[in-house]
Amino acid sequence: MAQRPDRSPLHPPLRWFADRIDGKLAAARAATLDAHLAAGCAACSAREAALRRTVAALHAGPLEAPPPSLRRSAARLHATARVLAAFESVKRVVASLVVDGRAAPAFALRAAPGDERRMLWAMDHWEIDGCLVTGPRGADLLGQVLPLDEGACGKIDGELAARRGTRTVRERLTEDGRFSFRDLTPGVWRIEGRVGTTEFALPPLVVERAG
Amino acid sequence: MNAEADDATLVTRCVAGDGAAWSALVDRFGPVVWAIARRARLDGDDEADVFQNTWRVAVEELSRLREPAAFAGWITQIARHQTLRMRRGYGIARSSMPLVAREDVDESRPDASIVEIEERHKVATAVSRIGAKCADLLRALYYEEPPPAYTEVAKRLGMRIGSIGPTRARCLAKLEKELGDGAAA
Repeated sequence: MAQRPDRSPLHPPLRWFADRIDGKLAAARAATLDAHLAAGCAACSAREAALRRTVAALHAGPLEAPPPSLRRSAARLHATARVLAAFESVKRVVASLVVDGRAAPAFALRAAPGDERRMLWAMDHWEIDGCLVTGPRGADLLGQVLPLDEGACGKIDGELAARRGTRTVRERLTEDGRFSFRDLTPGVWRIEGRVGTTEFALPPLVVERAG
Repeated sequence: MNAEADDATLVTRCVAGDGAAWSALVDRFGPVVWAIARRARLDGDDEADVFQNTWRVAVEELSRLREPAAFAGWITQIARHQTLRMRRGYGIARSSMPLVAREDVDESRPDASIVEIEERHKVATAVSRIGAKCADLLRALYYEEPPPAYTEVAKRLGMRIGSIGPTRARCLAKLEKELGDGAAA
């Protein structure tokens, strides 16, 4: 909390400071105010500086509110987090990218149409094999979630979601773990999902523009 | 209820599971997070991602915030980090982005535009707490560009023109007190 400045009745009133900031203070009062400040009144100097900041912020106006759809989805996050926390058996992991066959050099800025980028993520007892194919409208991500234990059999149960901005694309895994996201626009995508009781997130995936 | 609750109270309620308190925090600080996302000149979807990722990190880490009263600075930092992460992603993926300003790269330096965003938010919040009459007057006098003449303000707010100056001074004093900048005049 700010300390209240020591201000005697001889200090100029706030109105004088405000009028001066607005360019409306009469010359005689301005001279008195200047003399007071020149005499070294630290409290009034601080008050004037603070008032200038406040008036500048008032002139700049209030900040713009976020779009209502974003505000609503941010407000829902609390409930989502609580639901996830309630499922103690669910294990959330971040998959690591163990293979990235990026066709282009690391500093490439655009991918050529038809470029294929093969990737392999690993997490917990699962691997995700992915292939990003650049097309005219964006890129397709095709892949398969497979158990690390090659002897494991049975249907694979899970789903994935790819998010970017307000766009969310959801995919249910096929029984053999395959998935496909079509026409991902250039930018940074977040891919999250669940397989069995494992919740996972992939590192952000950069989709480059073609051409 | 939540409009009057301070940040620390809202954070404590959130951690205890109160969704309405979380909503109030999103309402209160949403404009700050949005302004930080927008100042980075990302494209629309990425601005939205910065906004969403900031709140996602906040909801996941809130219980570890040691000083609930420090929420304002904490959420600002998260938003800034999310913006930087997004821009670093651009660095390898895009050629059309403007260069990242040096102030955005050095995270230890105070950032003038974020200080301005925080100041605008602080002042707008304080204006909403000094009573409707004062809030209406200050908004009428300062929020519009160019500032309207006193005659216009007097007509709009049903005030005598001679009372605008003294009332403005009283309202600025209330605002000063609300902001903790000094004593009332």
